[in-house]
Amino acid sequence: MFHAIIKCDTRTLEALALTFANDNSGRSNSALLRCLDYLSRQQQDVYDMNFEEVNHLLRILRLFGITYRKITRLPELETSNAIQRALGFRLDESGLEATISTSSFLARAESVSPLVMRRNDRNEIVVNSRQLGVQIATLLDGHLVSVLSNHAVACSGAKSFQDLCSTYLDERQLECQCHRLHVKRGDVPAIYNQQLQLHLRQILVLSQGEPYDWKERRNQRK
Amino acid sequence: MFESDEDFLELMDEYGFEKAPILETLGRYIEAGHLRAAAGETVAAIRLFAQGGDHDRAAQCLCDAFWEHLPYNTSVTDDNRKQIRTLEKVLPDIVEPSIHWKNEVGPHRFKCQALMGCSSSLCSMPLLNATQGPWRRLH
Repeated sequence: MFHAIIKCDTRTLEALALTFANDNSGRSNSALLRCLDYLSRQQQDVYDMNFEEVNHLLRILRLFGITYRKITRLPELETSNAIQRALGFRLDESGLEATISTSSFLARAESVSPLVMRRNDRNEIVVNSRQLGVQIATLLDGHLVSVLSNHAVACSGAKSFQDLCSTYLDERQLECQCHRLHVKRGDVPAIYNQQLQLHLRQILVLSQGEPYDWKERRNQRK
Repeated sequence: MFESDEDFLELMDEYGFEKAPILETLGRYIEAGHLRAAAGETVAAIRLFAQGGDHDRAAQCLCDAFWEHLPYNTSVTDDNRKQIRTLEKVLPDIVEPSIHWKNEVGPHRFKCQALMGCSSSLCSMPLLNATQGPWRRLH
């Protein structure tokens, strides 16, 4: 994983994220979070993507959404070993104080600076662990919303979500230079079906992790 | 002069000398590795664990070091590049670590086909051939 991060190998990290997600032992949670963090920060040019590429992107985004929603709704997420390992902090024996590694982004986060209680002899920040947990949930939730919102905005103008070019379809022009989709007349039903599936998957991705039952959903949001 | 290696090591410890180099000389690499790791000399510790044949521990140590330098929301920068390169150089020393550590630290080779077919999510429904190329091919 780290090798792929260093080499900026997005394809390998996507494959690893899917592999880690299938590990039910919980040992890969920190690595999964790290992979998804990297992938969610990569610029995706959705505009020219074909159906297959958009579907692949939606698969990764769905995993991203599910993972982040699950994490941000943990009752005391700061006690999770995976979160501590991934985000670079550790709790003391009492569990009341958290020491943040100097290399962690938390050490540089503006929202964490008011929580600083002191610095230890290694110049690491020591904070109240519960308050840190709340801040982490807020930061991760903000990142989740930001990524999904940007994705939705990008897709709203992307070719695969747009109408087909009617001029080309009506055979009024053999060649058309406009930016909409150009398909042969015979392929139209199949393309419409795929567009419909894509829209449904998009809805699924944007609402992922939300339980179907409204009572459960309300409880999770408390 | 000393009845055993242990006596010698005990005396060295008593006088505040470093035990790790002596353990290395005695071929006790894993014990030396533990001492190096405790002293924060991660790279030396990894090499000693690998030399002693404990590749899982070496991989774990390397993994911890990578996490230390590249945690969540951190990229390779001028500040950590040197340390990361040093860690990368240690990578070939580790032979056959467990699959868990291998996934986290090792280089990978995934085939595109395997990637496309390895999820059971709802987003992995089969696609029609008509749309698998770039749009311009459909023109």
